Amino acid sequence: MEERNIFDRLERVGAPEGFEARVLAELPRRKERRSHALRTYRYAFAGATAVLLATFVLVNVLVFRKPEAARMAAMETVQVMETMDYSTEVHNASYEPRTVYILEQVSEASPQEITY
Amino acid sequence: MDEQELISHVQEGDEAAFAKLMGLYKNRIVNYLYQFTGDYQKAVELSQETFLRVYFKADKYKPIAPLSSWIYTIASNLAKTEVKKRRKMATVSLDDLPNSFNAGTYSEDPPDPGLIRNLREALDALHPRYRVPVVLKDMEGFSQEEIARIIKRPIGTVKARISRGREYLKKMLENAAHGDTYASKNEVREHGRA
Repeated sequence: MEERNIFDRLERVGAPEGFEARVLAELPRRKERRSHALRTYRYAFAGATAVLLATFVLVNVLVFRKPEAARMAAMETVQVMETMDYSTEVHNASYEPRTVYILEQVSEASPQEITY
Repeated sequence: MDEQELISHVQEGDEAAFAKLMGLYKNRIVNYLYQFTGDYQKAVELSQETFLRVYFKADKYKPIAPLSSWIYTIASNLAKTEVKKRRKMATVSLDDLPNSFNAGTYSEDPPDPGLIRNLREALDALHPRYRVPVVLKDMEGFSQEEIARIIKRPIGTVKARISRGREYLKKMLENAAHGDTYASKNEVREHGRA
């Protein structure tokens, strides 16, 4: 092929003297540069992770968490209804002089339950 | 020690094996990069960088492909990066050249400086997309399968690029032989696509 023949006319060159020695001499410098770069990346990564973590904690505490009182106020009142068995209460009382509590229903309309 | 043994020693950090490996490939790589860039000093620099990368990335080499393909891949990538970095391409008006370089004369005898100069200029003008496969095929003697492995493209693409690259070179050489300037140089550089 004509193009191939033409290419054959281009001069071929080779590596200069001392090529290998120059490359081998560059190796220690390049190794040092790579380990330095690796150390830098590690510190940068650790720093970035620490910053992210701190940001997450701060945002969580300062922005998303409400003050306790406000949190309590926001809670709904939970009615706890508990029936009282007077006889059991008296029966389980200590043998010391007993104090009998008589609870009197004040309102006729209210249920016989205790609301906390 | 064959190449596969050499590279496995290099993977362990053996600098003596690395030096032997360089001895096997240095001339080919320097020549390849010189034909690609047209600049001997740059070719030597890029070759050194190629071998440094071979050393530090030796653990990434898998013996499924020939070692030469892997080394040429690294060299080709460096060469392409270098060409992209060059902002100013040498554009030489043929009118400014001494008469002996003005037109290509295709003589069978000792290398015709006009032809060689034109071919050099034409290669330099060729888009890297075509330059790489053409140089690998026509100067380095790689097969299309090996070139496909080196540039990581399908064989069909390699064939097309070689064919088009040769066509563009032929056109440019014909233009130069008729005394035309490389009017199509920018067109080839910008529109080359396969």
